[in-house]
Amino acid sequence: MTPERWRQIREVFDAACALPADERGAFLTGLCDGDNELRREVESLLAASAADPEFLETPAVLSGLDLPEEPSPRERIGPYRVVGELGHGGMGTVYAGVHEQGGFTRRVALKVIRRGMDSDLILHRFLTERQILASLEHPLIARLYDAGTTEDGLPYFVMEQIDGRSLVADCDARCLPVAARIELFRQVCAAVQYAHQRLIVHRDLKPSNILVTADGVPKLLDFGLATVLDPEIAAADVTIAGARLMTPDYASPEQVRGDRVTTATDVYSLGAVLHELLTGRPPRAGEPERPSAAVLTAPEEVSRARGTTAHRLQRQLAGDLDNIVLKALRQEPERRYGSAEQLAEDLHRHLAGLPVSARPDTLWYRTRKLAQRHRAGLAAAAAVILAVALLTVFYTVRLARERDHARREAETARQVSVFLASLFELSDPERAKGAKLTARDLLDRGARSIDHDLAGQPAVAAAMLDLIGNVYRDLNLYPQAKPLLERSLALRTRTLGAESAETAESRRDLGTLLHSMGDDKSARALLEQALRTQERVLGPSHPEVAKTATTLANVLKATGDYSRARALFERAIAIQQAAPGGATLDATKTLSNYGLLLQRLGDPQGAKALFERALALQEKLLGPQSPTVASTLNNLASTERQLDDLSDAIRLEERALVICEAAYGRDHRVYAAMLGELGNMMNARGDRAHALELLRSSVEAYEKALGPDHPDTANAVRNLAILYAEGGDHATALGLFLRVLSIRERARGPEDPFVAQSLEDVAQERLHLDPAAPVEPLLRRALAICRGKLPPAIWTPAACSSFWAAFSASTTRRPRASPCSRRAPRSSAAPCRREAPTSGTPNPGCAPAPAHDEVS
Amino acid sequence: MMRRVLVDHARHRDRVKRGAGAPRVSLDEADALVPPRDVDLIDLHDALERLGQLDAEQARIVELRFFGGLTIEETAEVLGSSPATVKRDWASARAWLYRELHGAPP
Repeated sequence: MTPERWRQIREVFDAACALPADERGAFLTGLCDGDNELRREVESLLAASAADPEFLETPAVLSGLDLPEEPSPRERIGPYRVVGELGHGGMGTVYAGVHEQGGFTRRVALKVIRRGMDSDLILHRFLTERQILASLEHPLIARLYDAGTTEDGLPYFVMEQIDGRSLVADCDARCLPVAARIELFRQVCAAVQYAHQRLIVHRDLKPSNILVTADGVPKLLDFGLATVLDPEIAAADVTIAGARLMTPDYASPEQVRGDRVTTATDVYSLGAVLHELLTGRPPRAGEPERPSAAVLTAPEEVSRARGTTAHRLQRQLAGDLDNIVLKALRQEPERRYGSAEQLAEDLHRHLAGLPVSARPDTLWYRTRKLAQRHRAGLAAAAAVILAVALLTVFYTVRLARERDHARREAETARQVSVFLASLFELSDPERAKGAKLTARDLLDRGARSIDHDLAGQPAVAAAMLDLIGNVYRDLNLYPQAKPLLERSLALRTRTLGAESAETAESRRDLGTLLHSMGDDKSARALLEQALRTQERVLGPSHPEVAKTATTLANVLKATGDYSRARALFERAIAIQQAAPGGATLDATKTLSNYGLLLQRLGDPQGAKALFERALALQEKLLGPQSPTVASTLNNLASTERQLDDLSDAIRLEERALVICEAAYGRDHRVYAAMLGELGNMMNARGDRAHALELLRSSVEAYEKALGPDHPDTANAVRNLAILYAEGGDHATALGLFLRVLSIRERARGPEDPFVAQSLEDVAQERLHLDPAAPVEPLLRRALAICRGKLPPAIWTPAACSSFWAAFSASTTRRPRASPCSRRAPRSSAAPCRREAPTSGTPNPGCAPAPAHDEVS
Repeated sequence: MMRRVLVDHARHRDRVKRGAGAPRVSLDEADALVPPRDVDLIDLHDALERLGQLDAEQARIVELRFFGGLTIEETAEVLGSSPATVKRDWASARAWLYRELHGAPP
């Protein structure tokens, strides 16, 4: 075509366009005058013009080209200073940010969500889910700390910053062979499984969301984000309807269709990641090809990066690995692996040369596996045919038994997964109302439906009851947790007997809960029995034994049986140190709890050493900004204080406080407790103004977290009152002490030892204001309570005698005597002192704050 | 210029996509704001080169409208033309490009 011809065609086209469609035919006949080619051209252009009225009408900048966004330089995001950009993609831009406070610097990743999502809804949802997100503590999961809105109204998330390479890139750079890749991948599966048990689905698993640190540890990014950035939120804004948090190459078919996602969705994405780890590329959509076939057409780098040749790689993948990958990638969610754990288990079985579940269990397959595993034995026996036959029979029989056992376990695990997945299904009325399920909703729904849905499957029902009960306990929802754990124990006792490993697990978990609820007597009985059973059934050096021993030691510590508690801690530490695979979180909990015991026993040096060991491990496993790290920092601060190193103590406590604020927000009891602790330290340093401010904030935080009439709030008010009293403001102090007394009388009843303490506080302040005040009835009542109620371990002789001195002082109107010396040095063993927020003692006057509480 | 950047970007993307281990972005990007039309940027670029041979002004209009995101009025202003002319030329250019990229509709 020439430009002249084109101009001619255009003129006719333009004229025809101006006419109604039904007049164009006649018009063209008249105008083209026998030039059939001209007529055809114009007609085809008219058709093309009508074929897609939207063609090119949406400018490229808006039409789905992932252009680098115009860099809008950000200097600050919320309280964070931006120091660089970490990446761009997905939902927006990720920046490196720092937060400077209290003399140390906290590094975080800040993900600013692009325009188009409803900030208020996202923030609201984040706050709703905060408790669950804070409980998502796993060494391999990067933490999601906080959310906020930038100055220009975009929502952002504050996340743990991970330095590392994307999973596949890292494996390729290190030239990891197939087996090492699978080992790394199995760790990823374990982290995913952990989150699934908390009913948190990732929904966007892909290699770039799995970073491998320089130590070779994989870390999963963006876990919990999907929970907050639910597509239903996005749908509130019509322009983004249909936007889904996913990446096509790794998204499951149900996700692409827009169906509800469940844990099976993540299993699919894991399969896709595994496919890429093995073959160098994600699976083909639709019917994925076998990995062993995929590598034959892959470039040579792929096999080289796996330290082998294409042919060898093909042989390594053919068979088990093909079957495993394809099973994870099945189109129908119910035909995939039931859980990430089962996928990991099959990979383990493959590496160990055991039969995998992803394979039809034929005799030929079993025999071949048998021969592979016992190659040496079989070769030697080959000389004697009879021996071969006998060996084969022997192994086949044993294998069948092994398999039956494995099948039973696998069946329970599979059913648990099916049940978990079913919780994500919305019922029709809910769907009609456009309901959004929070993780808490899912938990509650799970707890409700166990009876009904799992009536015929006691093993599954018991496992679910235990699982959900433990999650409730982690969330401090004790009343919800208790009936579930009790029912799990009853069910397992009935179906498996009193002495099975599963029954022992339920017994231990219930005991742990009862200890958290303060019923140490029942807790002790349950834990002793669980420990005996586990030692017998699982062996004396099983990790579960260490876990139970630690909990039992905590109970013994609480009941004053220190020497046995000590022995159990030592034993648990020995088991955990010898465990293959290095230290686990359980081990750090043992160290921390043992440290608390030593602190109680007046050995701050020993405690400090244990806390420091725990801290180093926790920072390594969980990152420097986890709430667990904060709790250990808090413990360490209190030992430094005992060792009279106030400035170190304050520095550590400030660090803990910043972490807690990020993890829990300002209206959380742990944050409130740490404020109080820091206030006490400031006061000890002589910084009264600062201390007053902190203790006031602490009271406010308690009021918000627990309500104004909670006993823990009362303890915080009391700390504040003491500060006023020390400063000579007895009128204010008296008002506050009266408030504490009234809260305690209501919350604990008139006969409680706490009430005695408050009566004494009030009496003392009244004497300060008026030496002739009639305080005798108050003190008599307090003394009556103490005599009747306080066990000797709590009401020490020293405290009692000083109390008595005060009482006689009051009867002789000598206001200066100081009963139950509130101002005694902190390290003494007397109980009713103002260490309330953090001591973790069994002392009723001093309710332990969760931050400093033992870790269960 | 804008077009050059875009096409280079698309070429680059294409290249990395075909290689192994290219990072893939989530689908919830701007893509989601407007359902992506089925436009292969590189084919479009080539077709636009051919259109430029027939009528440079029309190719320029497409560049400004599609790659630059300009309205009819803005394009007219840039080219010193009238909106009516731009609108007419745009219509035939679109039809021609559609046919080049997708073939003649039945």
